[in-house]
Amino acid sequence: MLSDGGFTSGEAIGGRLRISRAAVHKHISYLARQGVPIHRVRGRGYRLASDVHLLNEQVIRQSLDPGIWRQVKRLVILPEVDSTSEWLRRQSPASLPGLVCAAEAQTSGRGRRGSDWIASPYRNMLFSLGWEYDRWPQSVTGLGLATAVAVLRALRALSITGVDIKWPNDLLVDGRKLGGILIDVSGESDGRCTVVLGLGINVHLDARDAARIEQAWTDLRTLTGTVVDRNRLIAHCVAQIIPMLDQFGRCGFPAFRAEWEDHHAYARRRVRITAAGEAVDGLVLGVDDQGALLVRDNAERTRRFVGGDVRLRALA
Amino acid sequence: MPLTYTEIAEIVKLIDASSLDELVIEIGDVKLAVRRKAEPPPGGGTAPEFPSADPAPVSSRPTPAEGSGTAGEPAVGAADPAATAVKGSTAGDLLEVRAPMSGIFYCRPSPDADPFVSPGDVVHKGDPLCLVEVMKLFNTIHAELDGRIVEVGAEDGQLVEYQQILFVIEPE
Repeated sequence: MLSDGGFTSGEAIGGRLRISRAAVHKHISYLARQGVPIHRVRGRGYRLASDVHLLNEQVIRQSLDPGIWRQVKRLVILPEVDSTSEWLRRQSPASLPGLVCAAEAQTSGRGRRGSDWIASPYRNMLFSLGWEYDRWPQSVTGLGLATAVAVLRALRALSITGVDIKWPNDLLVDGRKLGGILIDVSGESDGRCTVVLGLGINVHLDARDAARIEQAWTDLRTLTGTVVDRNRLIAHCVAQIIPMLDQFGRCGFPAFRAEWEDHHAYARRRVRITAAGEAVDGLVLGVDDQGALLVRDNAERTRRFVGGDVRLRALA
Repeated sequence: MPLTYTEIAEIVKLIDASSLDELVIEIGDVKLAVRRKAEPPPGGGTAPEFPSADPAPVSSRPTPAEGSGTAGEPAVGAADPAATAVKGSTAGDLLEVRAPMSGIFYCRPSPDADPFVSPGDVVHKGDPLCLVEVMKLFNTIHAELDGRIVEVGAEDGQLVEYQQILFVIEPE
């Protein structure tokens, strides 16, 4: 009722829901306090801000190919959660494969090791997907990089281009961060491996929240000039990630390496890498079959970086 | 001064990487002797940095020397250095939990949280022990049996090598 663009009176809403106008007012006030951008004009009623699409399972499902949808065992949409990946990790391992959790807001979204991922409620795409392999895939370390490739494919399917990957799996537009990926894996030595893949993309950030982000950022609205429906965005990402996971299980990262390199933000660039307190200047050569970054240092030696707290920046 | 299990493992690793055939160390009343088998171990003892499909290798070992009082006898019949055992108490097998991949070791789920486990803690099969991060992929290592943590082999935030001992667990 609130999302059709026009104003709906409190009386009409109350009539539909069979509650009083006062109760409508109370509920709307609650939603507004939760950060739902609802406009209220005296004498006309309420409407949702025109650029906001609430997450909706039906819209996501309708945007998905039935073959892919069959592999989504369950889709859970939460108004607020600590983090979608943490939520998935609390579920029973048996329920994890094909379980998708999307949220309007995260209270403690994770970047790498406690770096906050600041996300405006209703203005970011935040979801996690669970998966399982019967045995550990070859080069599982490259799974985050392969996920970045899948997300770029999803964006291209929505005619969104101009997004690069910063090693290992940050999504960048002209050096500004658009989104990020975190992967949690666990398993036993008998071979089973469970995966929780978490993805965040800035869709149309609120200026106040954006001011708190400490690094150069961007969002899809800046890139495309329009507000992308987050439901369609989730659907397209899921539609690319599930086949990627399937192929990754069979072929590992080598199957995605060339495409990753095609979108590498620092390909053949001179960079400074700081890892374990040591700074190395060199020329980026690319990534290997495990997804490790290869850099030729000034002494012409090839250095291999596997991550942890590796900081990377381009030199002029 | 008793040697810890991790220290013994480190010594073995150093010998493995060296050209030494035999090493005898005496510290006070502790004597440690390690002898290399005539045949080098397959692969020359150098492991690939990333295993293909080996998530959380766990190997069972005889109990190493515990406390200075039990040491003194040199190890007998030391073979492949990677499997060298030191004669000592054999109260039961200890279990090593080794790094499934080279990466950063984290002993706590997030920087401001308590450690997953500490020495002396009793753990149950499936309990998380630590995280190893590589390229923003966080691998949670779980206990594969019930037991007691004897030793934590790495510091929080430390780069660990493939197959490095992360925990020693005494099964219960």
